[in-house]
Amino acid sequence: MAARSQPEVLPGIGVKPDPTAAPEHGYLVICWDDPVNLMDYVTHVFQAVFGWKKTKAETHMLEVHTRGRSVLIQADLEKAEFYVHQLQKYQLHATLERAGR
Amino acid sequence: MRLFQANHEGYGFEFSRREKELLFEVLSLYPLIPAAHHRLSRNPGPGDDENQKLLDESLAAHRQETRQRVRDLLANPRCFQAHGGGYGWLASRGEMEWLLQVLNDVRVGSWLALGRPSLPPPANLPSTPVALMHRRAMDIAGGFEMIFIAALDGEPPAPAV
Repeated sequence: MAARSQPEVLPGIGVKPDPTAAPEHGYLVICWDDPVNLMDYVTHVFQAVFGWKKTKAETHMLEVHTRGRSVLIQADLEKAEFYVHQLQKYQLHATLERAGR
Repeated sequence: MRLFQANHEGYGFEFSRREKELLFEVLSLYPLIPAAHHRLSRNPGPGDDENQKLLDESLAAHRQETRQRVRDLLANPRCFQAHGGGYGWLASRGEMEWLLQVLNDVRVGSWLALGRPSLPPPANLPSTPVALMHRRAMDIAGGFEMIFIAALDGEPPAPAV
C-alpha cells in the first residue's frame, strides 16, 4: 500500500523539496492503528511531532484509522529513528521500515 | 473542570476536589506500558538489534525521567492552588505535552492489561478488581486527554459559573 501523503506543489516551482525525504533509499516511518488511541490525540501528536497543520495531521490520522496504517515520512535512518522515538514517547504504535520492502 | 486561562503565561485549569483526586489517581499509575512494548521495526534486518537496543535505552531513560516528574507533581500539592471553588493549576505548553504522554501511557497500558479489548468496551464491567481499575483508568485518562487537547487546540477559556 502506497500510503504516503501527496507532495506539496508550489506554483511555478514544482515539487517542494522535503528535507526528510530520501528518494531512492531510506526508511519509512509508519504509524499503525491502535484502537485505544483517541482520534484527536493522534492528530495532536502528529502536529506536535512533525509540526504539520491540522488538516494534514487529520488526513494521516484518518488513514491510520481506516486503513490500519499510514506512512508518515520517508527519511534517512537517523531521522526516522528520531521520529519513531518521538511518536513512541506519546505511546503511538510507530515503526520504521526500509523503503522499497 | 474548566480552562480559565490560556495565554503567554500558560494554560490555567480549575479542578474540583474530586477532579484533582481523579487526575492524581491516574497519574499515580504511571508507567503501565511494559518496557519491551515498543519495537523499532516489524521486519528487523541485520544490525537492527543494536538499533532496537538503543531505542530501548532511550525510552527507558525517558520513562525514568517522566516517572520522577510525576512523583514530584504528586508530592507537591502546592502546584494546585486554591482557585474559585476548587484548585487551580497553571501549566506551560511543554508541561501539557508531557502530561498527555503520561495520560496516554496509562490509557494504552490499561488497554493492554485488559487484553486489548475492542472499543468501545463491552457494557458489562470487568469482574476482577484489577481489571476494573484498568477499565476505570483507561476512561479517566482519555477524558483528561480530551480536555487538555481541546485547550492546546485553542478552545477559549470558559467563564466561571
